[in-house]
Amino acid sequence: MSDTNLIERLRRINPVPDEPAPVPIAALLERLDDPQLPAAPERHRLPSIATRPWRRKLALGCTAAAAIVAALVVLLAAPGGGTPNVAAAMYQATTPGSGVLHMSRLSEKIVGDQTTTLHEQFWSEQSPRRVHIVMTNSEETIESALTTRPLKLLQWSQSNPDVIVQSIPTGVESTEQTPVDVLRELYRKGELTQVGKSTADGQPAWLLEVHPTQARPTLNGQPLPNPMVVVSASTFVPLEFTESSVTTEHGTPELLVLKEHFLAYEELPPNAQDEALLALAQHPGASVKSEG
Amino acid sequence: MSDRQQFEALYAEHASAVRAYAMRRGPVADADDVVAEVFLIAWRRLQDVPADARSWLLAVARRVQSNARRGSSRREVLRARLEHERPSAQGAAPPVDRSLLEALLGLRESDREALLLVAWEGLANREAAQVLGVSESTFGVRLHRAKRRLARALTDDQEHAPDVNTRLEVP
Repeated sequence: MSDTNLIERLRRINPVPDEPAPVPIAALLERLDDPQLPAAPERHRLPSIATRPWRRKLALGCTAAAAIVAALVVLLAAPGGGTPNVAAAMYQATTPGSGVLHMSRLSEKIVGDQTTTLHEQFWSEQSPRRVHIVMTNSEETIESALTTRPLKLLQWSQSNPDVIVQSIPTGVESTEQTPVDVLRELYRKGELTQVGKSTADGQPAWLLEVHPTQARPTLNGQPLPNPMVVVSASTFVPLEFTESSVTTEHGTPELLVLKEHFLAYEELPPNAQDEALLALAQHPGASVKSEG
Repeated sequence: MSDRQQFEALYAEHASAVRAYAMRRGPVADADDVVAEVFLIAWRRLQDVPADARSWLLAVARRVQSNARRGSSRREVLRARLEHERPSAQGAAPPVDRSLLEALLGLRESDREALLLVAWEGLANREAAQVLGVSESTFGVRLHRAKRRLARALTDDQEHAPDVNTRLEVP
């Protein structure tokens, strides 16, 4: 295929072929005098741990081994008993191996005196990228499974149990991230700072503060606190993540706190039984409907 | 011309292109936030904006969106899940050339972005090079290799030809 044909074929899948009309500038002009204008986003250098091949090779394929490696990273980063590099250890402990990664997360959305909870189970595999999620809130269970080769998304919900919807996720960056992928990305961008010790369910833990490059939102003129990550002191896997933001879902600006509790993090051996966990369950009687 | 007039002219000329870029790379719902942030940065650094501003603005949009993607993937998706809502569809989309999309997704981000800056944003090599912060000759080499890798991936994909044609949907 010629270069011209290839570019032309790419043009035909442009999701926004024509430039849309811009939003009116009025709201933007009101913000020009805001003293907290966003700074230009920086290009980040990777922390040194991510650029040293000999350390990268330490990544092993099971959680226990990864925890040992993480402990080694801590020791290597803290000669003479100084402050350990917990962020690097967390990154190393969560380096995916060749098995099936299983995570469980309980999330709480707190607005005023209202708390909404959601429980999710994730199973993921790196190559080919596959993610299977089962999420349960107070009303129902929704299940989805994404595969990238071939690119396909299957979704099933308890409220519509007779149909499995098959579609293609949009966008070129659509691969579903797991919660741990998000935390690893924070480390790669150099946004994690160790701030001290903590506890989680009575177990010793480390506290990491997230320093985003973007300006934090404000509420009543005060910037919101930075997000925090609690990491296990023994395995270095994340235990909790807390982030504040502003919501207007009730008409006026209010504080919204998202608290994520990581209930399980384990890597299962790559065998057929665990591979099956990556697929959408067979729901009896459900027909597959291709959207489009 | 005052700074504010210069800024308004910049917005009038380029806001649509920045908005389109944001919509092509991420959730449509986030596009206006990306546009606002890009132009607030432009206002703060108005003296740094070159006469040929589009590439500069798209380069800022690229970095803003990279940061926003992380935030939205965490906050918005989770919030949507917590509210028991499936994310809304991202507007009408053309029929999918599925094998091409799969091949594109399989490329490295740098290869993919080189191709899309030319094919979707319609940039010349010189402009695309400015967006990526590389020389024009470096971009030329990168684009050539990206085309070659995409063509090779498409050849490989022929063994897995798609059996259905579907509309793009949000996961």
